[in-house]
Amino acid sequence: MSSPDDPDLRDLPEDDDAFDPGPVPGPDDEPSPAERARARAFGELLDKVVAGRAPAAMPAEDRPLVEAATVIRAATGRAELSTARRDALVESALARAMDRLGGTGPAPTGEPEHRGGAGGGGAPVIPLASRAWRRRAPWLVAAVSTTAAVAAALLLMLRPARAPIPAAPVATAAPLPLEQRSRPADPMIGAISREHSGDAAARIDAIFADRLDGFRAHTLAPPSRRGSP
Amino acid sequence: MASEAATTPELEEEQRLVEEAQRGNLDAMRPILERYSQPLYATVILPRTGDAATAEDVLRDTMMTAVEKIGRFTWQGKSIYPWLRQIAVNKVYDVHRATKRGRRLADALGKELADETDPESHADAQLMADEERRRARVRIDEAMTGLSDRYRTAIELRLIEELSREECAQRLGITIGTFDVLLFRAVRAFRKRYGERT
Repeated sequence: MSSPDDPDLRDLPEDDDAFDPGPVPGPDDEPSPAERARARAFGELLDKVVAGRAPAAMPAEDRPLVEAATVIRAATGRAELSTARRDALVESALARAMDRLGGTGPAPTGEPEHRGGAGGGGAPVIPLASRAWRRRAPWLVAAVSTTAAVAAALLLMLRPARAPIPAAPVATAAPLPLEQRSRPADPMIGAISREHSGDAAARIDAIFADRLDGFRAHTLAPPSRRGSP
Repeated sequence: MASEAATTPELEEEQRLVEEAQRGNLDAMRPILERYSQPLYATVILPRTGDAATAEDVLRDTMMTAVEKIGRFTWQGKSIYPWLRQIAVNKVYDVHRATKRGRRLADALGKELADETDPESHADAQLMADEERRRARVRIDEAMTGLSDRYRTAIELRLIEELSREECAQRLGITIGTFDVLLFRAVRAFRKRYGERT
């Protein structure tokens, strides 16, 4: 269901050209700031592609360009599969195929089999771990974890109640003098007449001076006479 | 790897492994898959998908299908590679058909398959892979020929010679930011030209 007003619901273009309409500027045409920014981001994306770390997720408009770059590299022999990655894919393919076939044939080993040669002899491959154990192991782990969690919950519920720890006595401080306490400014300012209603700055200055005196008294007083507000 | 036809001992070993897999020891397919995964990935799948992650998925699916259906393969005195290649190309075609945005490319790929010579006429996997790569390189070169010299140079320096962006900018006597714009436009221009041939 598409909606022209909601970008999340728009239909994706069917053609890559929809992501990149219009002609390509010439090499000497002045780029816009937007094109510069996009070109820099694309350059950083290609850095990952060349290093073999192409991200699976990327902006939709960049994907056709990354694919074009990859096609160039593949055709010129620059994009090869590492041995480790190859072995992992082969192992995964064999394991999945055997699972889907319902266990016909031995399970794949963790090591590559013999490499050709005249001495093969057709000896059967002995798996390092049986497939039945592999199937049951996750269920076993889940059962042990669940049992431990239930036991811990029962222990918490059934333990004897502990006597409450008496609260430590709180030392009471001497009451603070008025000038060190938070208080409304109304008694100091009084009623504001209409003709003096614009003198807000003067009133603020008066309140500030009053509070600053209190702060100075608090800061300069000996520690025994300081309270906490 | 040198471009030479497979030797008789290699073919005999391959046949033995295939027959062992067909008797039930599917793990006998492992050396075959390891041997042919690289040419399948680099010359068949990746150039047609353009995306490394998708190419790896297709490669794994190809090998999985080959193992599952090895019982249907009939040894004809030639390498199993053409059979694996056909599975891989079909998988790529399925991936393109599955995405709306890939449909034009999938249709072109289908046409390309009809135009190709019978892959089973090639006796050797390495020769096939070399031919595959040569044809892909011809297609790339055709698209690159239509680009301006500066665009072509930017692509060659960054994507083929694999110089860093800084080194490319220095070689061309421009700033890195200017090189980024040059390469960005170059790849856009290449993609449009490469897409026109489909």
